Amino acid sequence: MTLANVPAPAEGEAAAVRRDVRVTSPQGLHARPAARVVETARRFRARISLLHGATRASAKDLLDVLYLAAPHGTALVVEALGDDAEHAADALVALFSSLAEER
Amino acid sequence: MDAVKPTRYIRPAHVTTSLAAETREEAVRELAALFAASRTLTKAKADALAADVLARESEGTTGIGCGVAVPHAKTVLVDDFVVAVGVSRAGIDFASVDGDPVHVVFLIAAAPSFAAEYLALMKWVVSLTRSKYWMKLLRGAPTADALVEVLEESHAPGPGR
Repeated sequence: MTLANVPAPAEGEAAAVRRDVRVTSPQGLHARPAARVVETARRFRARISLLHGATRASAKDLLDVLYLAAPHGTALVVEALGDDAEHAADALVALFSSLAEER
Repeated sequence: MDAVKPTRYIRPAHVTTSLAAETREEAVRELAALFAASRTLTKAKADALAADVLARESEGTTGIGCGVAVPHAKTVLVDDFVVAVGVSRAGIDFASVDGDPVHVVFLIAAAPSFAAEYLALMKWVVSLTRSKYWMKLLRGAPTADALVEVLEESHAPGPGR
C-alpha cells in the first residue's frame, strides 16, 4: 500500500540510497518520535521514504509516518533519492538510533 | 491491530460536540474534566492528567494537521486506556504542523502497558483525519451519542474512504 502518493523510484532514475533502521523508541513510532523523523527528513531536498514491507510512507509527511503505527522493534528501510540522499539517509539513521532515549 | 477496536475506549460521557475552550490548555482541561464528571477519575487525578498532558504538549505540538490534535500522556493515573473527544466549532490554535486551527481534539491517557492500543488508535485517527468525509461527519455530529456513532461507523470494515 502506498501512502501520500509517494511513487517508487522509476526505472533509470538515480539509484536510491537505502539504510536499514529499527524503531527503538520504547512506545513505538508515536506522535513525538514521528514528528522528529519528519523534522529531520524535511531538512533535506531528497525524496525520502520509510518502507515497511510493501508499505511506503513519505518521511516528510507526519500523517504518513504515524499511519505506520510501528511498534518498538519494527524494522524499516529508509530510502532516499536526490542530491543530498546520502546525507539524508545518514541523518535518519542517526535519528532512529536516538529514538531509544524517547519515553 | 484490526482486532483492537479503538472505539471501545470512547464513551459518549467523554465526548463533547461543543468545546468551549479557546486555547489548547483550556481544551485539555475541559476534556480531562469529562473523566471526573463521569467518575472515571477523581477530580484530583483528572487535574493531574491534564497537567501531564500539557507538560507533554509543551515538548511538541500534537496538532497533526487537517484540524486534528491528539494531546496525550502515558501515565499511571489510569489503569488502562481512556479517550475523550471534543469538537470545537470556532477552532483552537494548537500550533499545528500545518498552521491550521484544530476542530477535533482526541485527549488520550494510556497506562504504560497500552502502547499497542495507543498506536492502533493513532492509526485510526490518522485515517479519519485524512478523510474529508469522516471529518465533516465528526464536526457536524449534533450530539455526543451521534459523534460516537460516527466513530463506530468509521471503523466498520468496507471500502476505504
